[in-house]
Amino acid sequence: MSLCKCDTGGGNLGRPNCFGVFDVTKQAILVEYYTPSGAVNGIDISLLSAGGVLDQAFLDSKVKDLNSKTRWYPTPELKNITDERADDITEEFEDTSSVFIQEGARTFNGLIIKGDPVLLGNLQSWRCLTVGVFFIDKSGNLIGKQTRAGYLDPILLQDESFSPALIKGTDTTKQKNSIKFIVSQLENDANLTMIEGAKITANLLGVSGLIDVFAETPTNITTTGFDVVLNTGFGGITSPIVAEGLTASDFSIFNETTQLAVVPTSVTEVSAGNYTFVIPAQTSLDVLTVSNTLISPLTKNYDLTPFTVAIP
Amino acid sequence: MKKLELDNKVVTIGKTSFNTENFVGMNKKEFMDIYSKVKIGYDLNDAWKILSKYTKVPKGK
Repeated sequence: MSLCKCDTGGGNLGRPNCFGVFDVTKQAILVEYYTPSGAVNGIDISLLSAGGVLDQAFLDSKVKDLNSKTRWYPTPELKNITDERADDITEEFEDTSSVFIQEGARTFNGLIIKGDPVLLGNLQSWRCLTVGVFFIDKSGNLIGKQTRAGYLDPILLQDESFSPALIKGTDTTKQKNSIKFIVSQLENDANLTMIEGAKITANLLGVSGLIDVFAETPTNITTTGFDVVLNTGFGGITSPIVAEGLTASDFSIFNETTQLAVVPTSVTEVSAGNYTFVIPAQTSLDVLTVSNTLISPLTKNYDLTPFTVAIP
Repeated sequence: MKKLELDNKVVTIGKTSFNTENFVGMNKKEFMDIYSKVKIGYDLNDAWKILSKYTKVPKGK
């Protein structure tokens, strides 16, 4: 990637009277840089609403995408952001002059207040992936890069550079998670651009990512129903925070034995996070798998880890 | 659009979300047998009044 334009000379240095600039970062949106098809996991501008507006439906389609490979994963609010390039790498000579070799690496650091081990574990799972990132700034701009026409793409991170940590509280400080990563040397700051906040009608600033939901062992299983407690990964080991407010349309059930879908007749939240499912009669010894609805985007902020129900 | 169609099939009564498509052909006795064991958070007779309108078998089926 050469920055020199020997055929056309230097670039013009004029600027319009009024234009937006990036504000301080408030959230990062992590994505897998490549989709399963191999394309960069960017925003196809033609899919935004008329006038290039990023609306709530578009944001939901990304943040609550059923496909975990193309989903957006926004972090909680970040504090104490540093996002700086190290000094240029230069070659120095005996006469004390030097020449530019390449830019230093851009390193990003941020803190998540009230970070905890569950969030740390989820952040650590990004380390092995090829990660891209969009930034949401204080003005509600969505920042990425443009290196191909018609797309706002995520910024590629250097492989294996993603490094989260848990910072325990002290007498004077709150517990936190820290995140640190280095932007790929393949990226050029000159390609950074944004969808301006004025063109975003969605509630982007403060957008929340999905919360993992895990089932306890189902109980009271009959051929026509079962009970199950659904917990988030958060809370104490004996006091998990439950997943509340799920309804029949949030689940899909598949009979692994007959290879047929089972439409739940009803789902009752008997008490917070404690659900009773009524299903059409199944055959003894059939095994059911219960998972997220198969229709994207999800309507709630929960991502259910599939669980099985063995019919007695 | 598909999501909207599915949501239209789900009716929430008390603490329970019912998938109305499963009520086609169901009678009150069957409903009472199933839900007498489930704490749906609503009077069963009143719930049936709401759900019974989804029990009609569509013509041609």
